Amino acid sequence: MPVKGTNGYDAKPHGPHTHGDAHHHHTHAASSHHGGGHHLLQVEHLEIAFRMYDPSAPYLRAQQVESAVVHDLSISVHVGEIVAVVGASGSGKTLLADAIMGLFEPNAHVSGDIWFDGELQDAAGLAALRGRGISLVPQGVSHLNPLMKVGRQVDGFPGGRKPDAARAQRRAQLFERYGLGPEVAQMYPHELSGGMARRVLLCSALMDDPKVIIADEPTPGLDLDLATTALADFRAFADAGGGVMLITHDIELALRVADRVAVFRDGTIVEETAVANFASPELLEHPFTRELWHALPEHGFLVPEGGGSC
Amino acid sequence: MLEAQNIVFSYPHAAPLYDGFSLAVAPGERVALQAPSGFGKTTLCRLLAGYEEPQSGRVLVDGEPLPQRGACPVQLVGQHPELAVDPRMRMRDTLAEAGEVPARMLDALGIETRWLARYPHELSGGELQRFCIARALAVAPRYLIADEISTMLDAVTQARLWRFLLAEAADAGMGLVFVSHSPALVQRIATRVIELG
Repeated sequence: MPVKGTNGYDAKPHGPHTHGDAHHHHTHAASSHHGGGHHLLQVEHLEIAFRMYDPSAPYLRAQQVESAVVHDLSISVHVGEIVAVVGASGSGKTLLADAIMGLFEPNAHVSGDIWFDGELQDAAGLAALRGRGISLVPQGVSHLNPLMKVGRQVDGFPGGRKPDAARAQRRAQLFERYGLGPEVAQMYPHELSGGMARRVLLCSALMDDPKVIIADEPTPGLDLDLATTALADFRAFADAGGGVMLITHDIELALRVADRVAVFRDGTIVEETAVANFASPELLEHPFTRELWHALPEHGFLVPEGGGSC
Repeated sequence: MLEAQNIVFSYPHAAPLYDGFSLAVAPGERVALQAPSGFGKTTLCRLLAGYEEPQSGRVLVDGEPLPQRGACPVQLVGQHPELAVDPRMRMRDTLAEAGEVPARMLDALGIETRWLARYPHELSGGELQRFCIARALAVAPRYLIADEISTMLDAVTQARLWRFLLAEAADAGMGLVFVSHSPALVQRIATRVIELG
């Protein structure tokens, strides 16, 4: 499905602005800046709908309807920062990752603008960037082929050709940088510990020097300290000039490691704000973000009046 | 009183997880279990609720071993609700495993009527978890074991869920044993913290 420029929003290179200013729906954190005067990754007004049979109609007479799951979603990632996308499981965060990776289901209708490094992308552009400009780090070891040695998987099959010596060398360098010994390349995925598997997946994402990493729930089942350690590698990547979009349901974790937080709710991002603004609810703009703040166990554990039950 | 007495447990071909472990939880207590990843918190939860048999030692409720028939007075709600329901059963039938579930409880947990006709894969993790909690509470357990039950929820839903559970536990004098990776949540809920590590 084409991702088209539909609205002429000013996502192109623009002049400097002060850090406190809101622009493109967000404010900045101290460490985030615009390399070359533009956003590293910018998504504007993303809509994702699925064509399906009307579930409320009788079985044989059901017409096809479009069901919108993501609407008017905007988010940006700057050079040098980790942006956490926070929302409940099952709320559609992974669809955002899929859209940015250019992975569209056959029955999906996607529209909106995605800019990468100052250039507007279409579906083919996003597919070409997959792994080479924007890389995905999936959840865990289950995303590796269980029957293939780790080194071979990380080398990959560029363009269907046999992996060449240069790629093997690049992989060896990455393994060394992330504390994986040369013997790890000869292991099968089941022989890796959880921590090793995470690093293998990260090395795999870094093989072709991406500028942006999208990490989808990279720390399930880890306690906060272990998760923070695991995310130190993402921090290092961001500090070296990359950008990280960290998709997570864990707001405590997000506040601990990210520079900015984008709050995902009901298929859209309701607020993008600096982590520092979570110091006090008055600094948060959207009512739902404030509800989240008040509901945190350390801030009163409050449930909003009225609206809904448990 | 929920008691674990001198529990010995190990998985095959592995070092023993527990060797003479004991624990007592009084009605109305809210006990947090804390230990590093991989220490066996989930295994202890399963032992307390009768999902695993200790190789030696016993689990007692009010001096009696866990019953072999009928609803267990110690109910477990786990971290992965999708693994705790039959994928081929509609949610209405899954709930019916606990007998009659009061409408009041479905309302309080925010379970919508239209979800009842669905299969588990048509619900999100957070929605499924509410069914698991309703099913566990519907049999009026004496103790509830909650193993990371709110990790998949956003902060607002988490707060709602725990407020509901705490109110139910207080009403029924139910004891609570729970595991959470969040220090703030433990501090908020626990009346006692047990460090296993």
